[in-house]
Amino acid sequence: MEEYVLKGEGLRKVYYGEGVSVEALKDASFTIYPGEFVVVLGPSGSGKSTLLNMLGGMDQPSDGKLFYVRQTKNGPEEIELTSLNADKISDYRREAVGFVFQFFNLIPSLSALENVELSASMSENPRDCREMMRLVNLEGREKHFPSQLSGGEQQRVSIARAIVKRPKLLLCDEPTGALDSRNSVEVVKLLVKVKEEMGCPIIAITHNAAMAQVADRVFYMKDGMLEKIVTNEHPIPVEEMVW
Amino acid sequence: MVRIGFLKMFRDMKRSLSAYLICIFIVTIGFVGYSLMLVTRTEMGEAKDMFFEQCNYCDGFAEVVSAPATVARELEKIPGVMSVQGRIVQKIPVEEMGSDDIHLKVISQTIDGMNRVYLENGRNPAAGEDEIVVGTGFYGAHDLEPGEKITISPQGTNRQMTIVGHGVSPESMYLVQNLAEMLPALDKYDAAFVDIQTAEKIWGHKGEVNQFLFRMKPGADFEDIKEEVEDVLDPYGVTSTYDGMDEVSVAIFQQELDQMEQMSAYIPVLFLGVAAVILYILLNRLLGQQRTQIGTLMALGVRPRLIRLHYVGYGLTVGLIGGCVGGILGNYSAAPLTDYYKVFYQIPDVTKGFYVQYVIQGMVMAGGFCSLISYICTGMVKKQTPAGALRPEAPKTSRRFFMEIIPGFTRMFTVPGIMGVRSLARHRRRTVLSLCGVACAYMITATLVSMSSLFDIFIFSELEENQQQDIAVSFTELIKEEDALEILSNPRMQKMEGVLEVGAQLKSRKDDLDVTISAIDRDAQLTRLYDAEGNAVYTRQEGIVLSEFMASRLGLQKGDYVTLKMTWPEEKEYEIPVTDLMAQYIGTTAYMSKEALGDLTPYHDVISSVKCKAPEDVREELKQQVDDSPYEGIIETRQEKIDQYRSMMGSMNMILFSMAFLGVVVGIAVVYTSSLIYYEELKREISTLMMLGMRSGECLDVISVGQYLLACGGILLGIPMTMWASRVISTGMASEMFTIPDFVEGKALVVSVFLIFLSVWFSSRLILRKMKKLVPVEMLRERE
Repeated sequence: MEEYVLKGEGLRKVYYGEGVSVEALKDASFTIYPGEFVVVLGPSGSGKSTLLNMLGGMDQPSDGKLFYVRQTKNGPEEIELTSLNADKISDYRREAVGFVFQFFNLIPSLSALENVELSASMSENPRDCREMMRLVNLEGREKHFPSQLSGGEQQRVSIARAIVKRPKLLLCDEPTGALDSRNSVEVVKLLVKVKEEMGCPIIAITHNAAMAQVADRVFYMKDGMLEKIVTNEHPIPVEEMVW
Repeated sequence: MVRIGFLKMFRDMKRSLSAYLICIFIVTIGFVGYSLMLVTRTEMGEAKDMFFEQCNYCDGFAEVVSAPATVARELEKIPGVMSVQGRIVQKIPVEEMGSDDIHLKVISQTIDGMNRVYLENGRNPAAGEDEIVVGTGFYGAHDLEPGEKITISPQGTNRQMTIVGHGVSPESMYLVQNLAEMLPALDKYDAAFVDIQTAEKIWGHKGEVNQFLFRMKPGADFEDIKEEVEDVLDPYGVTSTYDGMDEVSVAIFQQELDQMEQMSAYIPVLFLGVAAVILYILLNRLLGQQRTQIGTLMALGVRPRLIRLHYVGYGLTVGLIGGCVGGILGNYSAAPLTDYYKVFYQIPDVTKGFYVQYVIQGMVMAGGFCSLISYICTGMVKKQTPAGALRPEAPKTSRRFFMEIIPGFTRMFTVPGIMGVRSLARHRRRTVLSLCGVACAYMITATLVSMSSLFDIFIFSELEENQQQDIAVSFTELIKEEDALEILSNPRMQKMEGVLEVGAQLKSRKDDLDVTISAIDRDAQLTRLYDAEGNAVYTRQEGIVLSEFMASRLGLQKGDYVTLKMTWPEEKEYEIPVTDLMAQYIGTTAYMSKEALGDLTPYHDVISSVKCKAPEDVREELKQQVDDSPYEGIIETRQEKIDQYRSMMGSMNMILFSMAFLGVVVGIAVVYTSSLIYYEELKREISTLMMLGMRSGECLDVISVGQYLLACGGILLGIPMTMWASRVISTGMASEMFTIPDFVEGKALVVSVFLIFLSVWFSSRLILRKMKKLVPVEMLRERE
């Protein structure tokens, strides 16, 4: 079996509205390998978020197949995500996927640490929550509520929440979209650090081409089409990234 | 996970604390009523059982004119009977008490026999001695002391009896002078107990009794042997046989307990209905606000079922707290109500306790119901995909309010007012629910306000519409009509009408009913009967006029035949037509013409009372005239009767007034929650209006106009609901003694309209205070 984490074959998504239909994703096929940093680049409305939602089991494609390879005691096991029921998809999200959102989506009534604990509580083998807070440089801010944190800090809590459960892949939806340039660089640094420390593939969608400089591969999208996939032979260190 | 879930829930609830508190408050009220009624019912029921056991209360009664006491042994041979005891019961006038018309129901007893007095003070009367134990009510009303003597006058001869104690008995819990009386007056009529040998001397018939008490073997029912008992007692002039639980005093008390149990079912349902509306609105709004959080939780891998469960927890918490607090408060507030019944029914030894089972029942019912509402509310979570939940909700299409087609409708409002009107159209489900909430609040208020005026309806119906007399003279035995009219003849008398009242049983295929037959003149002026529509009804040459309640119980209609069972002078049944139906709120009196009753029975030309139209001060002269005659009589004026009703209904009115007040609070709760939700939702629009330069008072129209329209709609919906509630209450609470009229007073509807609008005004003031604290710039900066 080919060693991969995710594989999409002819993925298509159509949204239906009042008398109209919009094809948000057209025949996308791709493979995601272990430990790589993939950036999905494209303008607004190009289908980036639709693709990410499908990879994360947040939405079902109208057509096509999506496979996930799970590591078990007996070796790798290929699972067709598109054939799973709602509960199994929930389990996939719970066990395999870490999410980082553009607007952080922290639970406002829970403190920073409690937001991380919420995610940890769903994992069989979570990492230490306080250690995660240290990893994202938020030591001493554990008891603060989201409304008491800056945007950059909230996004770092969001990353801690995503990685505390040892995800098999980390999906980031415009992780720097709501941040200023200084905080954006900090977040990208953190994502690269996570990739290096945990070895899980990271897929980040963005419309900012700067992030592509540090990626292993770049998926270019336009009008719902996965136009091309470019391998970055020499990704630059984050410190050299020009934002 | 569970801990985090609870933390999130409690913090969310804290953010909308006032709305949740209102919801908890409504549930609490419902379950205060529930446990209050059940605790009182349990305490009184337990006290009754203990009381009956201590008095060795019998299973059945048989009344005769006179029979040898030894007949008891013959009656004991009837299968199922364990033991029979003969006793003497006499209604005897009491003299020299500073007031006239005082009587005692003198009951004989044996120390270890059935239906003994429960002594509250003193000792039992000695055998053969002129000693008496008087009822506690009578003892207290006349400020009597042990050792004091009272003069009774059996058969016209005075006899001095020494008071050796006072006490109560099951038969004196609700003791009325005659079948037509509805309320006890213990200062004028109470039970008294003497030894059987003393009773024989007073009565003057040694070895004779006029009543038999039955104790049945376990599993045997007195109802099953009534006919055999009547056969045995037939030679002795059996007048009635009835089950121990059908004894008037016991039956009335039991009815009260049953009504309490019924009320305990109605009250929480009513208030839970309102709580459901508030909870639904509240949770719908919360789920809308937390759409992104729901999406995030799904993205984190939380199953939709678990997310639903999390939000069901909000309702469950509301229900559990409301049910628990309601149950506890109900337990504590039961004490005054129990005390009231204890005094009113003279029940000794009422043990008060804390009934955890009603708290638990309240929590289970309220928790279950509120969880169900929350579960229904969270249905959208199941339909939602994580990606869909994370996308901002598509803005609701703005719609015109349906009344905008009315020319000039929009010109009635300011621009913020029109925004308020359209927000009603935009959130149709919430609008419908708010409308139901206001309608429920209106129904509760109007029904309770209307019930509080029942007293006037009773008085008006009974004492002004039906009973036209100023003075009623009731004779202690049947008297020839011409003799009675002659005794009472007085130059100031305007009109006199003789009435014959006798006990009887009405039977049909469906049921049977013990009633009083009142035989009146066919053209009676002082007793008037009306049907439900207010049309006059008259007795006929033959047949009987039944109340609507009796007809319904017996499954009869006008024109049907009913079986009239008379037991004196001999047991006989007659088939007679139901000539008309009448409205009757108090009592169980069926009417016949004197001719109709006289044709069937030997009751010719005799009467039991005379109704008089005369100035009330003629009373004293009539009293003297009766005293000078060989007959004994009780004289009562209309005012005395009104005062008697008023004293009883006074405490009832207090309870109803309190409940009407709660109705208003419910109204405010519903309207305020609805206003609060609209305010939270329209904050951005209000901020925009403020940025444009509008003052908070002007912006208030965004909320208040919608709420006033909701109030109007709620009231329109609430009026038929009030009619329906009135019907449900009148049907559910109808008993043999009282019929609650299916009637909603116009005044109650108007007062409730005022109270609902007052609630809207009050809620608007509270919202205005919040609005004044709103910082528009900050509001517009927030994403969500």
